[in-house]
Amino acid sequence: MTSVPIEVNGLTKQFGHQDPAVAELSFRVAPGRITGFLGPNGAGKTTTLRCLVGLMRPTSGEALIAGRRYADLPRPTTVVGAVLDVEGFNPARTAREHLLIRAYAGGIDRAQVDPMLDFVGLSDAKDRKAGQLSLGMSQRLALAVALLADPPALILDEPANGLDPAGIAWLRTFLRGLADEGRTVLVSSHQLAEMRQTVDDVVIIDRGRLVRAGPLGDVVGTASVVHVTGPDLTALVGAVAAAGGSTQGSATDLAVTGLTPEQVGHLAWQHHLEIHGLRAQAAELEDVFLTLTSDRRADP
Amino acid sequence: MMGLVRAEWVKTFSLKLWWLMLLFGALLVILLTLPFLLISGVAAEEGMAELDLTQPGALTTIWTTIGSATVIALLIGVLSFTGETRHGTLTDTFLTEPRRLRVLAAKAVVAAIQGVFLAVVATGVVMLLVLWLLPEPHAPVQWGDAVTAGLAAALVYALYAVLGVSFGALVPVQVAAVVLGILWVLLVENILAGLLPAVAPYLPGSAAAAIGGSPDLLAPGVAVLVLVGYAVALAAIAGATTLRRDIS
Ligand SMILES: Nc1ncnc2c1ncn2[C@@H]1O[C@H](COP(=O)(O)OP(=O)(O)OP(=O)(O)O)[C@@H](O)[C@H]1O
Ligand SMILES: [Mg+2]
Repeated sequence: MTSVPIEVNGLTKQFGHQDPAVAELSFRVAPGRITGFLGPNGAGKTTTLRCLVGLMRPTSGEALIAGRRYADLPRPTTVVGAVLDVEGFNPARTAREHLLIRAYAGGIDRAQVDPMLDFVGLSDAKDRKAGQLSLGMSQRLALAVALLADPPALILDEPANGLDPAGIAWLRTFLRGLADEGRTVLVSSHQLAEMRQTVDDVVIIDRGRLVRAGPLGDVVGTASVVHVTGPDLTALVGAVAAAGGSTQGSATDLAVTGLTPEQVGHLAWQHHLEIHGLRAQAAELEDVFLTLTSDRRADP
Repeated sequence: MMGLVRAEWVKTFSLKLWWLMLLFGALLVILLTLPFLLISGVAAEEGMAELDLTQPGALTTIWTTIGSATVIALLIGVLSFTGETRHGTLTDTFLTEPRRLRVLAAKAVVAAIQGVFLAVVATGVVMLLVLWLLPEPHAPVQWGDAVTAGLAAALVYALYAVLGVSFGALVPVQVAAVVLGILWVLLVENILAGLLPAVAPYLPGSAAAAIGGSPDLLAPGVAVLVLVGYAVALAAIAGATTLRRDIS
């Protein structure tokens, strides 16, 4: 599998005279990993993804796949498969016809059509009209269209929408399999509970701006809280700050953020402090997400 | 490009809409042909009919109805593009081929072929009507003239369908494009021709008539160029405006 990175550099997209939907956004998506693209409603996820695949024209900045603009890729569907909306099927055409159209237009071997429908679990619905497919089946059809050319990169906008728990479990295994083959997988979602179990990296945006990007463990890990108790922890406050963390609470009961439990324990030992309790409270992706994107909702 | 054309072909022939349009085209031609055949015989004797079918060459007028379904040909092209905006399939289409004018070109090729099919059906329908309903007495039937009229209609319909594709790209809202297209062919063009006699021969409808062999109009070759010119101009305008728009 050729590795195809996805890069967004200083991307800005403004509709009319509104505030920009996406503002100076930069991030990179690595091959072989599943990257969750997270943000509240209206954060600019869909806009960013549509700029990536050339359906929207950036106001400034660039969105590159394999180092090129989508429109400059020769046979782009063979490089990146994109699922941007499930409703994009003509209800009167069958599942097979939709794939056949993609095969012809994308220069893809027609013999791939039937195996692909089997692959996404639509063996029994090949000749059913798109208008008669359930939402979950439409999602699968959309995935089949995107994957038809066996692209090394995938861009999916809210692929879990409308899937039942079994469908979500299927999608998770499915995406993991694709990433393990070395593909680049970028998935937007606001279903955080699902993302926590699915993604390797996260890119979190809010109001069109990047708030955090990195491996899930790092992003969540630095947000975890270490609770420390002891008779006098005054010296620890300064030590934590010097090590790049922050503290809240009293001199006998501190909540440390930004450092791991090991780091906090080590600092206490260095300063010969008596410790009565040290407890790490792992953050959930939800907590991180809400903290990072809460300014607006905190406004009354 | 061949792949794009085949994709458009599948898109067209996977829908009942195309057969419906053929049916409409046939009905329209039948409606326009019947009066000549049903009324002429009786009325001719009373000197009322526009057409005396006993006169040599009278049938030529009937054959011109073969080319009278231009509005259907235009709509075939209009629906090709606006059907995609209506069902949101444009996302998929432009993902597969981001060079949007190429998509338009592929649609034009298929629409032109559909136009030719429409002409074949129209020719067949009119010939059958003449065969069954031509009242006696009548001048000898020159079937070769029907074929000539059919060939002219094929050219006109192909050009109109291509024009429709360009127009649909320029007015991507399906209802608006369909209504405007019908109004143009049935109403606006005639009014314009009346108001501006100088440009009248260059209007699409007059160009179509010229290709069909009407005298006092442009030479058929020039008329073809005029229609091609409209299609290219509209496509160019669409390419610089509506076709460049964000797809959301
Ligand atoms: N075509 C458009 N014209 C005008 N404004 C738009 C358009 N598309 C999006 N916007 C605006 O841009 C902002 C970002 O929208 P976008 O759809 O990218 O958000 P999102 O993160 O995908 O949200 P959601 O989670 O609800 O899907 C919103 O304020 C939206 O109203
Ligand atoms: Mg969205």
